[in-house]
Amino acid sequence: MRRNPKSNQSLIRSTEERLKNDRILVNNPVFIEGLALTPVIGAATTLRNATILSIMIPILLIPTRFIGNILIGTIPQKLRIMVYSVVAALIYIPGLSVITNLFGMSVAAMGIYLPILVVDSIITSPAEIPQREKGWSCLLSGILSSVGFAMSVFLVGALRELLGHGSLWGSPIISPAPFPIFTTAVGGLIIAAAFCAVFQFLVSLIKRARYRYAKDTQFTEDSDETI
Amino acid sequence: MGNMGNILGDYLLIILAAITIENVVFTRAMGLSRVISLVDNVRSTVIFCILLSLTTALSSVIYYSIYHSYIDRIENATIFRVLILVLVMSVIYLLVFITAIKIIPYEHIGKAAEAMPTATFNSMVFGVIMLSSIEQMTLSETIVYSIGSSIGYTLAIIYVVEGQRKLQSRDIPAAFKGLPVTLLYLAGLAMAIYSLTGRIFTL
Repeated sequence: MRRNPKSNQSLIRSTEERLKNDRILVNNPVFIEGLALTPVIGAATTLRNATILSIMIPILLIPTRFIGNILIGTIPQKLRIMVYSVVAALIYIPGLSVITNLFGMSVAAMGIYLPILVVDSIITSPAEIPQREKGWSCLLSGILSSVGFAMSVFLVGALRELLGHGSLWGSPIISPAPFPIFTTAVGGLIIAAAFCAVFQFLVSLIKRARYRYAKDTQFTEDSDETI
Repeated sequence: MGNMGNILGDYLLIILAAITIENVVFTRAMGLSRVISLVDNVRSTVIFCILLSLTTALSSVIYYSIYHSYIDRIENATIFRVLILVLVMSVIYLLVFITAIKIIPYEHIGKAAEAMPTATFNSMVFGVIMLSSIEQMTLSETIVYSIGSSIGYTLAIIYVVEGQRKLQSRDIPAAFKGLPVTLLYLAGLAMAIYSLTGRIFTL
């Protein structure tokens, strides 16, 4: 059967595009891009903290990114990060009320790690994007980055709570806690490093599979032309 | 004289603690993303860190003054302190940035000027000022703690920059290259810092 070269090319291009826009695995903000490591290592010691962080991030990130995107072209590059932080700090005020209503006193246990999000690299790094994105694409990027962050912080939070406290969402599972070290920054760094390595391995597998697919498609195309 | 000696001794202890056992990178993971991604050689690291120390110290002084003059006196005003701190950092950023590009030739400041926004709007700067406010430090303690933390942060960056040479070894498995091995390297350093506090880890 002869394949249409044009459709093959567009298939490869759409796969590449999908991989480029994938913020959950291939470009995971935490484990691949190294963003938001401060809250992940410093605060995600339990599943509850991870949930608080994963709700707060979209509240701050999506509107900040959207408003910042609108302002690209009207403010100089060097001032953009400042504008992003100010917008995030403004949104933080109602955001904190939402989180406090949902989680009550647990929010206080987050200490400085909740307010610190307004200047975190996951919020301010979109300020380095040189060109304005389309409104829909900008919103989608914000949502996908939030999902990628939530997945990462849940993985780290759940594992640290299980190993460090011997519980999950406060319910005891293993007693005594097997590795209390994982509740500290040292443990957070070790667990984050392990997840980064797993993600890098998975991404390299995906990229290799895509390369093999592209090569096979090209081979089929060439064979068809020879026939 | 004795009293003066005690005060200086206290300040020295605050600085030493901020550099070592209370190092913001190794004990609180503050500014970690920037430590890993921002700098690539010792010279630009030093310029970056001087600017960072300056913005941290200046921001902490102004925030302290505003906080204790106005916010502290208004009921329920603490909810605005994040916004006020970001606004203070913005003003300091503009002041330091404009002054730096006016007085330092571009060939010297080039890379540091690029890093200037991230040096100011950095979770380390924000975290240090917030911590000193929460722990109700005095103005002089706040300044000393800011300087100590900046030195500690600078050391963390220099450790990473220097460590990069060995972290690029071919013996490191592909999946661990880059971010994972850097985080493990930082974990090793953090563990060494923890050991200074006399803590024992249960593994």
